[in-house]
Amino acid sequence: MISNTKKIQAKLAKRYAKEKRFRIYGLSAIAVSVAFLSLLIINISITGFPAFQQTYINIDIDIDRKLLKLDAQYSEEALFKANYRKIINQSLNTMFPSAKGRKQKKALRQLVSKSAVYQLRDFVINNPDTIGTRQSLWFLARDDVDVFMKGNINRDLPESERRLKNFQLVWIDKLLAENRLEKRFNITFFTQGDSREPEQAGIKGAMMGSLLTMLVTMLLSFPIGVSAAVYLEEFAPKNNKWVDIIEININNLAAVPSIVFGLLGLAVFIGFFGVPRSVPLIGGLVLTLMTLPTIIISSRAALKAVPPSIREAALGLGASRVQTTFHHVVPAAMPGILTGTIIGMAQALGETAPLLMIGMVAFIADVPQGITDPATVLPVQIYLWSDSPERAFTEKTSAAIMVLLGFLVVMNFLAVIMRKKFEKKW
Amino acid sequence: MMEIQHISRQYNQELEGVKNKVLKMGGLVESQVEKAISALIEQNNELAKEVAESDDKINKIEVEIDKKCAQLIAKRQPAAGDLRLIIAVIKVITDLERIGDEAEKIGRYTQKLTSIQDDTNMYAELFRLGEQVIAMLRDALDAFARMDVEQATKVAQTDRQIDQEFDRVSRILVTYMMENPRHIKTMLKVIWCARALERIGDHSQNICEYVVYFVNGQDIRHTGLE
Amino acid sequence: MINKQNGEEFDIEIDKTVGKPFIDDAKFSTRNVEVFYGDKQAIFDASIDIGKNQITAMIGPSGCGKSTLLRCLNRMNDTIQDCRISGAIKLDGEDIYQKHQDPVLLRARVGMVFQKPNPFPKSIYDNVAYGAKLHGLASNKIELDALVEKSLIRAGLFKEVKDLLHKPGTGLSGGQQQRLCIARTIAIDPEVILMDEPTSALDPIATAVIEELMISLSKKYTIVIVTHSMQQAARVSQRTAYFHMGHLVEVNKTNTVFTNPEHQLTENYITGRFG
Repeated sequence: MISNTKKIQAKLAKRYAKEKRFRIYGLSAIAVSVAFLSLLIINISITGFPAFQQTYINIDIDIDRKLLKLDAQYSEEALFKANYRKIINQSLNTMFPSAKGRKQKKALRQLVSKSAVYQLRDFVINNPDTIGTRQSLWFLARDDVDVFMKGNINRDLPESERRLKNFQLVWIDKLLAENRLEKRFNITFFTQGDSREPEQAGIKGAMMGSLLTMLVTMLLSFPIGVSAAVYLEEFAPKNNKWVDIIEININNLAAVPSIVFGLLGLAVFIGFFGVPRSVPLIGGLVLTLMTLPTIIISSRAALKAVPPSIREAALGLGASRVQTTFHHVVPAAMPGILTGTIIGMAQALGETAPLLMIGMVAFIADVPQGITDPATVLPVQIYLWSDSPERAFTEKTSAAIMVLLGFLVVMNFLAVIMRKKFEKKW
Repeated sequence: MMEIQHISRQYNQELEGVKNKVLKMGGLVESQVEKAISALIEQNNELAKEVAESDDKINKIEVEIDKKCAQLIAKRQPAAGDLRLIIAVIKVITDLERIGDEAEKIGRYTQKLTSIQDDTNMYAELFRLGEQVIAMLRDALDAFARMDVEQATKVAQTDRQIDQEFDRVSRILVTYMMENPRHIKTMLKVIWCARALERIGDHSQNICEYVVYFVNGQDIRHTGLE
Repeated sequence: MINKQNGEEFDIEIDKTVGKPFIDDAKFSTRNVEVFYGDKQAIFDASIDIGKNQITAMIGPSGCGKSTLLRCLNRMNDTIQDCRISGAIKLDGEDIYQKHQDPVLLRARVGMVFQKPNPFPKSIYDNVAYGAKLHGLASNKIELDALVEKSLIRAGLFKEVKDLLHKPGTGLSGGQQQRLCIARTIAIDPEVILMDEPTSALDPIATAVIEELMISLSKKYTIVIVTHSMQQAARVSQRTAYFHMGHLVEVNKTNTVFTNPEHQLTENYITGRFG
């Protein structure tokens, strides 16, 4: 015995060292992943946060009846069609008389966003009594001004390498000195659809698109997936060749690259069934195909985890198999099924590739109102923006990523809450 | 039956231990009876005294076996054959203890008888009875040791012969008493001894019956032997 | 027939069931029942009568077929694929494996209590009321309340849980859970209660309470119990059946089986000589 004790003691230090080493490996693995994750998040946040602010420019506008070509008695239509661009240009010229020549005058016009025309129109239509007066109004600034305000254009670079010319800088300095430039919270980002002009681009269209697509996916994949799982787990004959083949195929489908589902959707749903392209309906159908294996597999696992004693108890009391399944087994498996579904949905929410195939990559400025309106989704929007040449889209891309990540976090959090809520002990 | 062992080896050993103790007690009782009979017939005062005084040992073994059996029942919850064995053991040792008492009784009477001068040959009359009783006891213990039903049944039947022999001895002793009333007091003591021997035969029969009970699970007491 | 014992093989014939497998007042009677799981035969030619308002115990080493036969009695084996049964099992003289017999109805007549207490993850009330709701035994809430209370009282659980009726049944102790399962079973008022090692997961005191309950229930119900505890079989049952490797070896009155079994295998098993 003594010799045994000594033998064990001799090895003890080595064993502990091994344990310690293993702990260090584990910890360092986690540390590396945490480091990369935080790097990603910090990078995205730093790039993305400025997108939540937008530069506005203040201009004194002479709402001149003559320039608008309005008579004393004007029609609604005339008011709508009036040339507001002219009075904005006029006002800018008045503010900056130093601008000479076509080139400079054009540059001057480009301080203000193109949307300023519509903004002014809406203002005048809403306040017709301001016609003939002088108003101090805030307009969206052009993206170049915005980029400069956020410090992303270096003044010290030679003029030829800058987006803003020297005379434009002089104007901006003047506006700044008069407190006519201001950064405000970017409501546009959340209330507008996509736009070619970065200062007007928002993610509402993509968000609605994602929401509608997810709704379709959810409504299709949850009932189909759960029914399939319940049948396979509770009713299908065991050791049956066909059931085995179906099982293998479901497991394989989970590993099929998502773009293949896109091609399938293109060929079958659009090509054969004639579903319109670029709409949430087709997106939802394709994502349903992609999510189904995930939902079926996780639901089956959840059903399998329900102790057989519960089934026996119900059967022993004279419940039929369907009653046993729907009174006891499915409710008991619900937390697992919901978790699997939400994770499947989260996966679908972040999916881009199959949607490219079915035309959801189109540029769509309007916010979709239903599942048959052309739409795009968040990840595709991110992809589109990241592809745009304008400097201002860089920060928008990151901001959209932040929104998407936020959605994913919320969904996963929901999964945790659902699990906690429905979880039962036996 | 016994070649199949219990899963618990400890249980086996405990049961074997109890059985061996019973056999040892049987041996002790047997030698007590032998000594008592020869002391009586040879009128050996020394031997009689030894018999009368060594009953203690038997009583001690009985108590010991009783305790062991109680422990076995409490710890092992014996069933079927094991249960019957333990019940048989508990009963057998009671009878053995009684046999011991009878031997002690004979020893005590013999001590008193040796002090009386007598020239009658009456002790010789007890010789055959003594032989028969010893044989029966020995056979009964043998049957118990081997758990032999056939022998046990046979031995149990010999009790009838012992009863007959006792009747014969009683008649002779009564004749003695009638011939010489002065001997009545002595003769009564002798008759008590004969009675004790007859009782030993009854107890031996009981032991045989327990053997049958243990092996066959039938209680053949008070029913007669088939 | 080769048997293994303490690593050595020995031969003991099991030709036919010894003892008294047949009685007059039988609730259940099985004749020449053979059960196969796929190619494996689990029960060989089991013929036994189960007495009315009696407790019949089935004992035997693991895998001897006692649970299998028990599960044949309420057709729980139907749920197992490739389980084949031949022979006749009659409940009150009617073969329960006939085509027109409904297993759902049968299981309402022949209740079952399982080895592991398995209350539903619902409230105590819902556990007891489930069977009654399922079969529509109570027409309104008042009747249902009364039924639940009566069942709990009969299962000897009411005093302990009357203030917790709407708490989850899974929060009770093991013994209470098992009694809840018994209450759940008797709530649909079956004729027979099958118990598959009902106390194997319980401590001795909870076991004693359940045994007491079984004895009091046997006045009204026919009870069949499978148990690994020979002492339990001896304590509660009137008749005992001993199974060995799929064979029904011996059936007799419990008193006889435990003091003077007829078959060598029974003797070996109940005296702890089985390897």
